[in-house]
Amino acid sequence: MFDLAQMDLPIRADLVAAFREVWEQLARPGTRLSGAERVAAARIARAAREGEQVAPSTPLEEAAARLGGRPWTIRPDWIDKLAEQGLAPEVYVEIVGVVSRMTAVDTFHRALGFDLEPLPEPRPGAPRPVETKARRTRGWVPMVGPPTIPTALSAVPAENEAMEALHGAMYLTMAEMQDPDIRKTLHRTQMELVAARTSILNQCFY
Amino acid sequence: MLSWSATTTGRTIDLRAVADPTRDPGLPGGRELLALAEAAVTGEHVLEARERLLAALGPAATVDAAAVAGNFEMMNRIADGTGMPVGKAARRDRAFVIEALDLDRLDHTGT
Repeated sequence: MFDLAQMDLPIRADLVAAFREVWEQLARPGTRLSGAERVAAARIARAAREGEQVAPSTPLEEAAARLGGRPWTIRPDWIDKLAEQGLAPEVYVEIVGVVSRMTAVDTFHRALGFDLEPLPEPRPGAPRPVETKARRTRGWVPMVGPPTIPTALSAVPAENEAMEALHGAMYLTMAEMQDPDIRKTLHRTQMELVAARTSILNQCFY
Repeated sequence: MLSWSATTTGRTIDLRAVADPTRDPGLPGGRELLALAEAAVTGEHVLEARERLLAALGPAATVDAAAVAGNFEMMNRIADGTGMPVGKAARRDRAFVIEALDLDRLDHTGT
């Protein structure tokens, strides 16, 4: 899995480890979804992102397809409609986490001309629900505390923690983000140029 | 974040290049970084963009640029998927960027 040492570019070991962890998380039962449901969501999101024809037949599939292929079209009434159809907000948040991390890994591969990593085989087992004090305020989903990027997925703590870990490996840790002059192989301003161009192409205002 | 980093560290950058990559942003490897980001999102001209960035900034920076693009594909989905609001203060602080890049057209959170 993620045999990137065979590639012709120097892929950091911590990055490979982070990608493997994303795939492990994807395959395991989550907080509200089974491993099979998580991998199914990832498969549909990947197909939608790659421009394949996707015909969602369940609210889970509809959420995954939209998040994968056209996230800028998401509106609160659509999320509410999914909830009316039985997709609880915490389940939706878990799908946001699963799809967004898989897309991050896929994008890395795509940008460097690598083949996409095959999705993992789901692991057996039941999800383990976790209760939080998340509630919906100014965002469109419940969160613990005020709506900010670090709390965006806090209704499902495991998803929030996984997002932070991947964020740290692929870009900057939350602590490093305080430094406008940080330099890795790229200076912070160069990183932000890539970030801004990516976001504007994705029609993301935030 | 781009304008904050550039301003705080005394770098001059043409922010309009973010929306119009025919412009030179004025950073080392800037045009090549923009091209790699575009290839990452669209899947088009990938090998050309990769080779250009390799020539401009080298292999380690090319890998890191791909990682940053990947990270923001994640963050964009999280922000759009959860309706992350941009507060009034942040909007005020970024007013010149919002105007320069015509970003109000992308603000879905008020709808």
